[in-house]
Amino acid sequence: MEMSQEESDMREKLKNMSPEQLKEYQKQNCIFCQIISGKVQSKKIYEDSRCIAILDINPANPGHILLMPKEHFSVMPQIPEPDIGHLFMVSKALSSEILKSLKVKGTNIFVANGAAAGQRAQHFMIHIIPRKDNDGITAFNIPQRQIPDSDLDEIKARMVGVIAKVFGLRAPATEEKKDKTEEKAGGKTKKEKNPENRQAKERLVSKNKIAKDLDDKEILKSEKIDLDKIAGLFK
Amino acid sequence: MSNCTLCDLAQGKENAKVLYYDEICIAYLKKMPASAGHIVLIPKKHYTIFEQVPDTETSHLFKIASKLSTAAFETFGHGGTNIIVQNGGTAGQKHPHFSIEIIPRNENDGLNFLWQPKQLSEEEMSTTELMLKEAAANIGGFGEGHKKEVIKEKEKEVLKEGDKENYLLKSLRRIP
Repeated sequence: MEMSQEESDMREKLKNMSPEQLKEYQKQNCIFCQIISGKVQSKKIYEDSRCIAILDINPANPGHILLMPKEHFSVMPQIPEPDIGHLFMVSKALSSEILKSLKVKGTNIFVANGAAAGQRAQHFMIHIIPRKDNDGITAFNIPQRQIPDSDLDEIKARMVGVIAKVFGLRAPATEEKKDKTEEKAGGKTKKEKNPENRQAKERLVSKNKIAKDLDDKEILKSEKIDLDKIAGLFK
Repeated sequence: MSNCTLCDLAQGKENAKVLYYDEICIAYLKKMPASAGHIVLIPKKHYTIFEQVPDTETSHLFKIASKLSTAAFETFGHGGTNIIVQNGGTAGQKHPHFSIEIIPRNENDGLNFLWQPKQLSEEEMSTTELMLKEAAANIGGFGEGHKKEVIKEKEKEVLKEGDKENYLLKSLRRIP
């Protein structure tokens, strides 16, 4: 099919935009950003400084909630870590309130990253879907395929390196700078120059921090959740 | 051996293709995957459903899930990922141990996690909205000063009401 003049102009315009301009353009054309700013009406369930939860107007089941960050992100890898943590803590809380108030027996938490994964909206969102027995939803029966053990080994070999890289890249730019200044200051020992050692150190530091956070939040664990019944379905 | 296969797996008593682990969680390749690179991420501690997982662990788990998702994007260089939690037997949960599934996706991979939307009446939507809104008013305290915000909003309301009263009083006073 031939492109109309308008379309080709648009393509040209998009091609010449800086990433910031592109983000701003996406934001202006994002229906969910308009919902967040209140320009478009919605059935709002929850809101705080970082996120907003609304009812899906095309629900899989009554009470189907869409939880979104207020800032415009298309997919999960773009979202800063603290926001990921916050979004899913809110998801859990919403799921819990769904179980209690709608008297359903379960929930599905669903994220689609990318068009190939079924993502339709350009704004990252988490679906929280109430589930009942025999509600006719089969979408979340995850298919299982028999594959040879050797294939799994091969996939693992391919992924392990990338995973190490992704987790290693965590070191923020400022830390890299710090390393460089340390080197300049004459701290050029073999240990510090070895990136593997540095990554291991960082991992250890973050691990300790998590352990500490957990200690701090020990009280949370003792909090009684009256959802034992649902958990008890397995006992 | 415990009664829970996934607890055994987390403790290394069960064979698995482990991709990542730390003090809190462990991620492995699913033995019978939906697609190549299908990852299961579980907390090491035994929690049956999402609601039992403490906030700090929830936050940590999904940060890891996001990174694993990024790694899947990079490894297979295509399409996208689905992240699915089956919370409760009704929702398709197979093991009584909370888990997050990360499924790499490709165009034409034969998978489809999309649902048929249900048509609800305006009344049904409004009732659900009211019930959930009321329930969600309990949510807060994530350490981000959310509660403060709620209080601020309430203060605002009081202020507004105060203004109204003043206004009424003023207009009353204006009547000679």
